[in-house]
Amino acid sequence: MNEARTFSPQVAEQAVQWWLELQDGALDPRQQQAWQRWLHADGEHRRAWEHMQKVNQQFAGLPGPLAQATVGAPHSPGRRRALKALLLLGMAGATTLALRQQHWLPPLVADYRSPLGQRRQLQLDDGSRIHLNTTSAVDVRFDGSQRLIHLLEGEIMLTAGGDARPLRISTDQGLVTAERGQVNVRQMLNSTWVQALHGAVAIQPAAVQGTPLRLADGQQVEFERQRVNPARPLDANSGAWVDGMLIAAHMRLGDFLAEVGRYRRGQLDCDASVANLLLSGSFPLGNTERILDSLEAALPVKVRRFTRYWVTVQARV
Amino acid sequence: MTAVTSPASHSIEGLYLVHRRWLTEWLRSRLGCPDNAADLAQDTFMRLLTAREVTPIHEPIREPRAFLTTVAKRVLFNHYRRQDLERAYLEALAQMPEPLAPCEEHRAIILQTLLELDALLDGLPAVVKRAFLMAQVDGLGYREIADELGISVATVKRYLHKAAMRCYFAL
Repeated sequence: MNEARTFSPQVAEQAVQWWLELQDGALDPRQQQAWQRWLHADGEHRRAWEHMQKVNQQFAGLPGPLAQATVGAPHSPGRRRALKALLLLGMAGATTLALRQQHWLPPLVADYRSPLGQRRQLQLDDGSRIHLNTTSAVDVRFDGSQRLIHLLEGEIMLTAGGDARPLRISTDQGLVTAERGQVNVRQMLNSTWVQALHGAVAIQPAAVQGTPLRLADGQQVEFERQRVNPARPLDANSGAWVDGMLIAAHMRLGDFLAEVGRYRRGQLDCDASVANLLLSGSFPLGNTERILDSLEAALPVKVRRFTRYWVTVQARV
Repeated sequence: MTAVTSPASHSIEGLYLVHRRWLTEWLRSRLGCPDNAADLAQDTFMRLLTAREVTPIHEPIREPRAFLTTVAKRVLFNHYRRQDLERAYLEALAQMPEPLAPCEEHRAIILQTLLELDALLDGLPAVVKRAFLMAQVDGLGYREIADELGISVATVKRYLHKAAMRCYFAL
């Protein structure tokens, strides 16, 4: 809201006066004219008014009861306690201890983690390299007999370094063993998605006994704890995220938005009526707002932003 | 511990390099949580970098650590405030009847939006905030707000004026 301070107090005052008038119900024709005259008298007037609209848009759609119970509520005893504790800062001992108990949060325990919308690259000491996609986390456990990477969340691309010990990635659904080459592994809600980008990999679902399944170079597959789906060839988008791209080839809009939604905060979805529209193109993941803007040009859709964090794509009427 | 007055303390970047570790430790001793401390130390420097009240520093800050702790205390204050709002939010959600409660996915978004709104209305009396939310979020008219809060229509207008100047123009 840095923009808020760029208006002179006089213009702010006038804009708020007009806002109060409009809150009161419809303007009569004379007032309407006066308001329009004010609006167009000066560029700063119009910008101030647009600024107010923009702030309002952010809060449109908030559930009233929740807003009242949180923002509208008087400071809770907890808040008052915390503030009082803050005033006592500098006094060591008991105060610090009380704060510690009250505000301790569990640390995020993964060895390596990437934040939302960002990629990270790790160099392991055996020469292997891991790229972490948005909101991903891994633990790395190397010992004398094996090199084990726990994929806790998200998606990684692993480029195997030469080493005699087997290199394994464990997920909720089982183990993926890469001999050499490059593999992409993504933890889905109830499955693991593996792409053999370069060289073959072996897949062992957790609840399946016997020989691991071999996934050939250039193939991808999704597996659960009990079963492995049929393998299919890689597509244009396989591994493109490492270069910061999303490549859609006749992709359903619903799937496309689910993909884009991984890289931004908040809710991003579409109406069922447009979910099956097909989309093709390469999209840089660095700026998801731009991707959304480009949708309106590519498809007969309208992107509606209820708040910054709540975006829905609808049919253009 | 001697105060650092190297040329580095001319700039925020210099302060960051020299004092980040110390500030993180200071915050950690207040919070008891290393992860939060690192985040809040980061927030403190971000605040310095973006704060418009901080004009470019022309001479070395004499007491850089006292300066940093003053800003860090404000950051801590906001941190507690955020936790407090989150707690109130969870309580309110728990009390909502099932069909009215937002779905899991929307909860985080709503919380984020509420935090932003809370920051915009910072410092206003609770009753002024309530009146503003009734007008903007619930879409109530002056008369309805007046009846609901047991105050006059003139007072409602006064409250909304005050809230709008703060919310839209930070005045």
